[in-house]
Amino acid sequence: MHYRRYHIDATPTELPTTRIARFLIMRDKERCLNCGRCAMHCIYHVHERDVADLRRLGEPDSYLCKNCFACIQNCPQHALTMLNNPAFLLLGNEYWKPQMVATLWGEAETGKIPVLGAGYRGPFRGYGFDEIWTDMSEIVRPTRDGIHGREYISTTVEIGSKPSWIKDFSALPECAFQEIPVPVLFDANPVGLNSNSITYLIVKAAHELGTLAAIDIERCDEKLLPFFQSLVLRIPLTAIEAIDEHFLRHARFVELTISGMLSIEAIIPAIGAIKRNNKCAVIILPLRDSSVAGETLHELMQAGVDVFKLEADECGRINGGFITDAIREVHRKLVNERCRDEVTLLVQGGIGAAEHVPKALICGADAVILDRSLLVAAGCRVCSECKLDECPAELGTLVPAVGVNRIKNMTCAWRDQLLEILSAMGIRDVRRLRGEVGRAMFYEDIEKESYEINLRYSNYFKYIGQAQKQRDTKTQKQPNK
Amino acid sequence: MHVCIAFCKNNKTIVNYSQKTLDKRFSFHYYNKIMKNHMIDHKKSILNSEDEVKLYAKEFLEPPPFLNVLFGRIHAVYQPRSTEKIREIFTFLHERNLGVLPRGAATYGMGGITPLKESVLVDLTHLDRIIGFDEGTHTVTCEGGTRWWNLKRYLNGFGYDLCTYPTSLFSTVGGWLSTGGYGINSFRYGHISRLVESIEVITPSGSVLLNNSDQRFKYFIGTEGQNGIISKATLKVRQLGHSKAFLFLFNTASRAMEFLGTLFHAEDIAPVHIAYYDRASLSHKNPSTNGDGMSFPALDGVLVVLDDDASEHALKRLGEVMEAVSAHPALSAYLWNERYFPFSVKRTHPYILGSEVIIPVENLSMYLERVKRFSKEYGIELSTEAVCISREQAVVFALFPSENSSIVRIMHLFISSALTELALGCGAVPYGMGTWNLPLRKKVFTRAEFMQYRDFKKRIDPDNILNAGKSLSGGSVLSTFLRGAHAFSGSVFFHNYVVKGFSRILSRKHTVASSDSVEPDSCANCSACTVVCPAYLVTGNELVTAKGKLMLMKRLREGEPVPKEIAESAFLCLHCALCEKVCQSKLKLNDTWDAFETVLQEKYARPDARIEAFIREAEAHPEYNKLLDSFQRRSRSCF
Repeated sequence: MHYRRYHIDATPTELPTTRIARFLIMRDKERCLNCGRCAMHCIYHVHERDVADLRRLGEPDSYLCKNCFACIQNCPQHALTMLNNPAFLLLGNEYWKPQMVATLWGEAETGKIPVLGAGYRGPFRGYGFDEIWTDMSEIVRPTRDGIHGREYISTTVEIGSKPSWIKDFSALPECAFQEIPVPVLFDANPVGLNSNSITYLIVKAAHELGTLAAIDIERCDEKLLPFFQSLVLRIPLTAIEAIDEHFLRHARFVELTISGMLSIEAIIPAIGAIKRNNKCAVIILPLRDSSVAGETLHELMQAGVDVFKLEADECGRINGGFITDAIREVHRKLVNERCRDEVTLLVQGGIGAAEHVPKALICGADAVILDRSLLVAAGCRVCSECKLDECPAELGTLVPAVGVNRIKNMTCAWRDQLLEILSAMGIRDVRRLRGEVGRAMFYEDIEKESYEINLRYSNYFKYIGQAQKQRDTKTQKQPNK
Repeated sequence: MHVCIAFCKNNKTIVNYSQKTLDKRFSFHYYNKIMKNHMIDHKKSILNSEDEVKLYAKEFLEPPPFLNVLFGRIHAVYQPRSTEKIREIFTFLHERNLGVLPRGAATYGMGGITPLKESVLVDLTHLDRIIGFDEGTHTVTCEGGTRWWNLKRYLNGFGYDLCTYPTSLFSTVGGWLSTGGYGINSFRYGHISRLVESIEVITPSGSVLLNNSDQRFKYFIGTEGQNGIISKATLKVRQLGHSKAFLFLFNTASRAMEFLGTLFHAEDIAPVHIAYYDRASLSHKNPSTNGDGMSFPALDGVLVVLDDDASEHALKRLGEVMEAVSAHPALSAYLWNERYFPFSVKRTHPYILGSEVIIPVENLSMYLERVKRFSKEYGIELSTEAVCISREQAVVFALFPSENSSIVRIMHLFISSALTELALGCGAVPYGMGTWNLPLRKKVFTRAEFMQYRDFKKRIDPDNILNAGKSLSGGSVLSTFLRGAHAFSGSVFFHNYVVKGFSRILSRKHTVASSDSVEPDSCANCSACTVVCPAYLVTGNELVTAKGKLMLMKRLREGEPVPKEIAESAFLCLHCALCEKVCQSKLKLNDTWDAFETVLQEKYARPDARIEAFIREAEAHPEYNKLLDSFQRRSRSCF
């Protein structure tokens, strides 16, 4: 038996288009002495002497700046200034904040865990994923020291359904589940983008990483055939009958896309048609609403659904709330139905940073599906409207090797961060993280415990204001000593 | 040639060489080799290439080339870094019958380092440690080569300041004690010798530590290094005060003199510094040369500097009573700040000549009138500036623009000497002697004094090693020549008919230097660029400073052969532009270096390996880092 420890090779890959620096470092040439102090103090190589003439300093490479202020504090002439790059602040939208985009770019470029310099000044609580703090109680145990540790930490997850108990050993190979080495799957048609080249590079990256990429059946062309085993075929429920049997026979994963209301009656024959051709095919059913009753979920499972995919939009919005709440709701329902271990719960939408993966898993997902973050890794700037012809990052004409490398780099950085978090929690298998809400703190819960009411966002600030006022009046009453 | 033979006597290994071989091998290289064999020293201590020697021997006033035959040769520049080394060099050079020319920053205008004998230049600027500040006795002790600028900055760090300091702030402590002595704030504090607690002097017959009450003390102050090299000095200092300058303007020079007279007798005003500027010198000091922005009106001015608020009111009232025009405070402050840049006239006129004398204040008015007439007769633009050093005396500088051409310069030298003669007629004495004022020795010393000084010199320096041929020893060819020339130029016929006529013709085609291109001769030799130059800190060689590069530029322009190694040193530059910021001639140096480097690059390739080694050395150099730290502290204190 050949055993190979799973490892992602990062290949540093720069973006071919202009890079947007977060901070702009400006050098006043009139004041600069070319003394080299900045180059001496900058550990990020923003400041270097000019290669052509060592006596002068080259233009500062602002993109590498981590905002540590070492150069500014050590410049004897105060010739350096730093400012927020206005172009940087225009990146992204209200969810995909400029910092998130830049961090993704950094991860995709180097494959390393990002360094953000100057410390974190708060706020210590945000919204969405930032309402969750993970437990890091085991952070000091050297044997489980994340990526450098001696003990192996598994990030493997199973996608598909598993029987609660083994009825018949001979039937085992026919079980509809597959292992993937990272709890991260890709959407090869992210945000409804119709581009064969982008689809190709995402699928190729997924294949090389050993994970899966979901693809619309009509976009599956000959170029993708070598990666067929890594594909999740997305087939409209109504079109099942029209699909070539050959496809169905070899497909490992089939996702049924449903337009309109979810009805078990329509789904059963479709699943039957697939399973007839391929017993081992994993059936994935998307859920756009977390308020589905537990019983319905149970019935769907009995009808042959192996995987539920909770689908939010790219900003993580799902039926009026955030995806984390939706995951917890569905997870709880499955637990109540006593069938949680038999089914897989995937999550798509709003996953934009490395820490979102463990947080989604803690809420109850088995694995996450990436969409927009893949595009960002390839250079996307999250414009308000996506037009491939006018794309500022020139995604349409991206060299596939660059895109593939950058997606792999990002996955590598994310996995390393996942390992760090797992080791800090003292967990050696990512599967144990699923639904471990006890290993995290939720802002909502803390608020309830502290104030016995759920104030949530706005009320909280009102409360803080009142509390502050009360404290002020109290201190005023006390005479100053 | 006799130097070479002197070597032979002392070194058996070369006795066997034939005369021809000796001639061939008598070179600087050879000299250096011998010197190194005899003295174990830092490898950078001896500079012996022709260019380096020329640079280190360069002074404010460059003599006309034809005089060169009368000079001795400077064989090398030696840079001692400790007092022991000075003692060693005395013995070494004495054995070889070579003279010693001690040199500070080479900012003396009278020919302080003109070689009158075969000699070696001893550059003392590397003997520049500040030994310490004693808060109890209010004294600071430093080595002779310390520059006043550095000492001032050092003291300011303790909240103290120098009582009096030279206008050439970048000159050395030992240098000023040996030559000038009157400068900024001399009105209150008098001559620098009154502020010296003690000095350590190295003489050919050993080193002595002298208290200011010592009888021998006076023989070392103001004697231009003929008796000994001042290696250490302890100076009295004062607490840092806030000085405020007031400039009063008058229609005529006589009105200004009247004001000065009243000011001296006003008991309720205690000025620190008083200076008179005529309208020509004020116009040279204008902040901008194109006439836009703020500029001095065409009036004569008196600058009064106070350090207490009590006198301020009285001074203003006195100004009103004397009907003086009070200049804008910004202009006053600007003029006060310009005290460090006495040769700002070089901005417009690259070649200047003049005279510097100490004159009784009561004769100042008469002198100014005569000077006015003089400038008309000779057709020259004279600018006069007087710094009052007491209620009785003032140091007067009279400067006029000259030209590059040899004949004009010789004529102007005659005018210059006539100008000094005019001042002497008003009861003045020369401010210093150096080389060029040697014929005026009798005006400075009385006969008895001279005998006394000469005897002392004979006793302490029996072999006449130090500054041979200057005022106390005499007997050099040049001094005889100068005396002759002086007598000749003094003849009425020569002056009335030749010089005046010639000078008037010249004045018609007088040219002003254009401000676009940098003229190497515009360098005032003030050595401000040397003090701030980071490359100089690292290499310790003036060739890399602005002063050195301007000289290289001149030599290349004149088509003289410059060895590759010497020319390459122009590339050892960080392009920090600090030299441009301190340049008192306001030369656009930084752009010049770029142009100069392109020229050099065509002739000699750019020495990349040497540049890299230089950069690495600089970045790790403790002195360089200290300089940067001091900049950082200063700029931080702004907040």
